[in-house]
Amino acid sequence: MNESLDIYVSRCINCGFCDAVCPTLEAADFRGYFGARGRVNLAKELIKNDIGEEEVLDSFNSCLHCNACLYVCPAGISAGEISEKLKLRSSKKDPLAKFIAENIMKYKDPLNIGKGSTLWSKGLKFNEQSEYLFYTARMYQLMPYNSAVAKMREKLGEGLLKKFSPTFSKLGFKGSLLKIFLEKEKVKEFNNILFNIYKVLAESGVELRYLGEEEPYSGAMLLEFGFEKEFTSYANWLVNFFKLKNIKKIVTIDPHTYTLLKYQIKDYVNFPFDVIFYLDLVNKKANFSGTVTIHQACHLERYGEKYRKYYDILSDVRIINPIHFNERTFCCGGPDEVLFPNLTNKISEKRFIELKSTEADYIITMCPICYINLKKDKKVIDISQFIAKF
Amino acid sequence: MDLLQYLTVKNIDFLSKREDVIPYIRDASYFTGELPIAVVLPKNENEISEILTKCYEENIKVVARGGGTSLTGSSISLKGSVVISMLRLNRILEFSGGDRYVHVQAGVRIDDLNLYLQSKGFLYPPDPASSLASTVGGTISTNAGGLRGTYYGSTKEWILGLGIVLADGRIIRTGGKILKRSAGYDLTSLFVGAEGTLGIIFDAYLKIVPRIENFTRIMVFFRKAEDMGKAIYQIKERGLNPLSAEFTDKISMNIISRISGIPVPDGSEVLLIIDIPLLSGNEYEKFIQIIKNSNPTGIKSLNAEESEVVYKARKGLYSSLLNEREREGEYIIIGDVVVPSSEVPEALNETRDLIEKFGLKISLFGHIGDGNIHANVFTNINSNEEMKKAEKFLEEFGDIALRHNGSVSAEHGIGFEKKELLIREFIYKKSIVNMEIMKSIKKILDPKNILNPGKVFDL
Repeated sequence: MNESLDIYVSRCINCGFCDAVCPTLEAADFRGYFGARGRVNLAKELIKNDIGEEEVLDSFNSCLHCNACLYVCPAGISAGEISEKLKLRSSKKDPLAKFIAENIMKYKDPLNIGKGSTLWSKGLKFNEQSEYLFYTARMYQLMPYNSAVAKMREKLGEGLLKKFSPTFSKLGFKGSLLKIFLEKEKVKEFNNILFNIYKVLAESGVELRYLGEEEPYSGAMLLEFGFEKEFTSYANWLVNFFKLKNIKKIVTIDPHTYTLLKYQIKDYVNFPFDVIFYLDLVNKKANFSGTVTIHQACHLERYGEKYRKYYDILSDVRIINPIHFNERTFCCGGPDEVLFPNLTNKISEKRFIELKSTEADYIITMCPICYINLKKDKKVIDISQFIAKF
Repeated sequence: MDLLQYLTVKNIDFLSKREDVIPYIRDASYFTGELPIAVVLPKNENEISEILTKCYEENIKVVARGGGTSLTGSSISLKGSVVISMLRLNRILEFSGGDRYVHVQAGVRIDDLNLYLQSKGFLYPPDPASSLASTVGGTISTNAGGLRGTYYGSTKEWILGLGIVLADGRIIRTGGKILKRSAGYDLTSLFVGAEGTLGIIFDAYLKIVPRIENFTRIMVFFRKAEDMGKAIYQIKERGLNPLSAEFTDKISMNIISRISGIPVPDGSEVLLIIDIPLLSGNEYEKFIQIIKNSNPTGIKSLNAEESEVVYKARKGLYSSLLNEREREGEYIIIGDVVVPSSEVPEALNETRDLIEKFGLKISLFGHIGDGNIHANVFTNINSNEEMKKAEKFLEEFGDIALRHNGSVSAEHGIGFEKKELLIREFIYKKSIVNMEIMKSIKKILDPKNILNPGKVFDL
């Protein structure tokens, strides 16, 4: 956005195209407040001070930032970007979001999972001298813990969870009730994906450096939840941290971290590192005689570039496209999992049905958030697992 | 029991908080409505019936809303009204390729419907530029057109039957699965283009056709709009039917050239994009022969990739024009007239003179195959002076259409915007009694004037 928010918003002609592709609108039973056009209209009122921040906070917070709206907007504006700016401007924050933000600032980890982030790497070889930093940003590791938060919310109810959030923050994941809800099988599953990512890179001859317990989270959720000041401070810290470690090339393994470090972070700090998505380093072609369908990640399709290296890797495999693919790929709903789990459930269910109806042998994902939300069937497989297997 | 209590007792979902109803005060027109009492989100026709029964009893205005894509203000909310959002009625109920119909609920979006039909090898032909967002119910209510109108006609040609809730809550059905019927008044047609003023459409039987996959797309450049108009007329006069025939003026032609990378031949002022169906083998030669004899400055036959890019550029022309806006508050108000094909050359000449006379920034494009011309007027909607000038232009633009035996509204409906133009059309045709008939019908079906009052005409 190169202009002031009020001018940017005023370019909207209210055609409704954004609503037609907004996943949260249908998931909220077509309540306009939870749709892209609703967000833009509420932004217009908020800018004029005709409505209070508190009344519109959920509308902006529920935006998935999937950028589907930007792709179809005739006036070239993004309801997602408007939501993000207004969240950043707002002084009102969700209590659970506050809990996560405090954790990130304090522990460099949204849920303070401690050693849980390094279990996957036991026994693997790394090269401290490698030019490539293998940067997990703890994303795959965090997914089972996110699910634990969602489960606890289900058991305790919204009110109690928010009430006890500050206590969890003090105790960290290990010392809190949250660990009761952690599924060990899920931890194993995600550690297996991390192992496979490592494996396909190793098989492609790439040696990697890994920071182990020292590896910090990227800070993405600070932006998603509207903590701009904190994010700026965190991003500065991250840059200095990488400089201290003498990092030059950062190999990201999930789309959210990739687009954050490659594009979004540059609005806040000078980020002088090469940012790579790990599939760029994979030189293997999958060999599978059956069929696959691909759930393309919003962040790889509609953020800054159309990232499609996986088509090369899968060029010998028969791909059956779902109804929504490429630029029109449909969000898994994952980004709403913490604050609006009901929306996430409905959106992921819709997307899963779309993918499953292709009747492909495998449903390939390439993002930990997409994976956990779409893993409703054995057919769902992370692309690293697929490449490693075939 | 007030309305909100009633809705609660009936277990009908509704929204009434300010932040919840704000998203419904605007549509794609430049009008802003007023806050409604409530927005209701019915799941079926029985709930719509219950809502209308209560609103009828209590004299509460009701505005039905589909995708909210009206360009004339048909779907904006009114003060003290109830908005009925139709989007939850979004199921495809039945499909029959053999019987050539699809039965759908009113809230299904047009592109979603065609995505479904494509998988079956069929097509629902109406394709307004808003097809991504506009709904079956909304497009029936405005009798929408689109790029394929020259070959397939507008929405009214494709409606076999409707399910409607009347103002007092009664549910009726008109027509049905059959492709023809001669059983009394054609009540189905009565509700097409009625813009929610006579009843609320909740489902529809739509006629479908097998998709024509084999066609070729060409770009033809002309020095004069008149030559282009004559070419189209001759094509049709000789019994040929383009699948679509779109024209643009120089501003829009340059945009398409920029997007597609296809250069504009020297001296060109007008572009024509034609889709030629390849059905019997020699259509292409017949089309080209006529075009070659019409003084073109260039003809470009498009390959598959170019064809796709040019189609997207054409369908997105309005979007591209939006990006040509230079001032804060600037909107594009779209004039939407239609004339018979034989009158297109002269109507375009007169339009060019009119643009010169007004000195406004205007771009012309349209579905010229069926004589539909859009004038896109760049106007600051916050300036009374500019708005008056734009309105005056659109009035005289409408007059050009009337002088050439056309209409002031081809495919966008009347809404708030064109009420005066509609009266003008009836006066011009020396048939102002049409307005009296329309008002009489309205009084029979909606005696309390609760359905979308103030749209189409004032009682």
